Amino acid sequence: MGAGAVVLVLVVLGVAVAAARELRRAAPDPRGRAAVARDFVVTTLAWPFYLPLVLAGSESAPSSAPGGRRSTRAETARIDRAEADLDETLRALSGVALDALRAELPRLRGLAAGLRPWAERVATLDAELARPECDRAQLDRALAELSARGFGEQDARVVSVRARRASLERLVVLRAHAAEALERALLELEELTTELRVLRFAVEVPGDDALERLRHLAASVAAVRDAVLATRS
Amino acid sequence: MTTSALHDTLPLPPHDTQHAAPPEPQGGALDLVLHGQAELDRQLLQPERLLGLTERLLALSVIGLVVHGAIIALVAAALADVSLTAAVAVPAALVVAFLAALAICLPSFWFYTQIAGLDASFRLIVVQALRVQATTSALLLGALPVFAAVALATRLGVGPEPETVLTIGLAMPFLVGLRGLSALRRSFRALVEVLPITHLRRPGFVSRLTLAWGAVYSAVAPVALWRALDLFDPELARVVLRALGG
Repeated sequence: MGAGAVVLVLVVLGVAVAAARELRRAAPDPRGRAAVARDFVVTTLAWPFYLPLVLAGSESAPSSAPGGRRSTRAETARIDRAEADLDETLRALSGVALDALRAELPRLRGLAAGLRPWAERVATLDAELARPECDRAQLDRALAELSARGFGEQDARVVSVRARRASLERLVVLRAHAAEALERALLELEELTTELRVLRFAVEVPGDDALERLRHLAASVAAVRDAVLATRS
Repeated sequence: MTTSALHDTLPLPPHDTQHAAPPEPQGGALDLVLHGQAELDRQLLQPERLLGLTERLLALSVIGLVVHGAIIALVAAALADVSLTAAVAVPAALVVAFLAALAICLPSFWFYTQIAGLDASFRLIVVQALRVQATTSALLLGALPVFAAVALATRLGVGPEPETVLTIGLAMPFLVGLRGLSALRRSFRALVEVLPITHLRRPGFVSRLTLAWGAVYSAVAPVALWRALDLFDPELARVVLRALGG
């Protein structure tokens, strides 16, 4: 295959990616035809950089539900790891550290388990967002079509579609908040496990400020417990 | 790392429930790569911003390479009697070579990142690759006065041989690219805190990941540059070949 044929193949691929980008646009581009033409040329010339974006979905759509589900699976695996790490660390405690934390041990062991319902909630929201009627691009297309047919903002059909879109946005925000709360609680749990590991060795060093560390750790335990309880409410 | 510091690294949820995409922050791609790398990391985690980021970083990459190529061509015309058509050929060769090499390497970049245990999307890998090139291009613009000074010294008879000057000019994107790789390493270190993790990693894996990115690109880019230069401006390619002892 000569250089000309290679260039031809690359241009054909570029045109295909640029056309796919235009077809997947959720709504008509408000910037006008010149901008659309510019986008088409740039995408044709630099198509390898645009192909992943085109394959990922419409330009206005934020992170899609399938990506969210994959993230939730990763978070569930992370909860498993955090639970195993914490359990192992608690079993290794002894001496002063064990005495100081004995009263907290049952609650500490339940911390990771307390995060599972929250991960399930994120997964449920993901499943809800993956439903066909929650397709943001489809709602945008419906709005654009109604607008093209001359229906104004006060028309009942436009109002109805806008209300559905607003509900969808609320679901997206709820999902983001749930995922963020879960992430924060997980990070705090991992931080707590690390502190417990440090403490285990710190109390074995003569003259170290182990008691101060114990007090600090007790405060951390209370903070993490509160964080996990907050995610349950 | 304290709990509050950890919170600062987390991506923020959307604030406005009525609009899908938050407003674009002020500042162009040049601001982002020069003193807004942390902001760039934040935007990387917002899928709705990735298209805009791709376009801005791509534009900055092209501008930097075009300007650098044009200066090399002017220096070649002044020092080595290369024809002025190089003013078009060299920028074109640089843009085609470096962006084509980047595009060829993208699947490898994604593969290495997955092997390293970071579940980064292909879109994020694309933007990270363009961030390295855009950072390199921005720094090339800053390094141009130094290159021009060396060329001027040669013109006055106190600098290195003209062929050597041209070779330095063509090698500059690779040297400056090390700074781009450094930005990539810092970015991955920040992203480790928030990206999904597929398996446990050994310490220092981010440095090895960055090294793998740099190694595969360093193997592809010089070949791409040589082929593009030979295609667009064979005369200059021969001059460089002489400087390299070929």
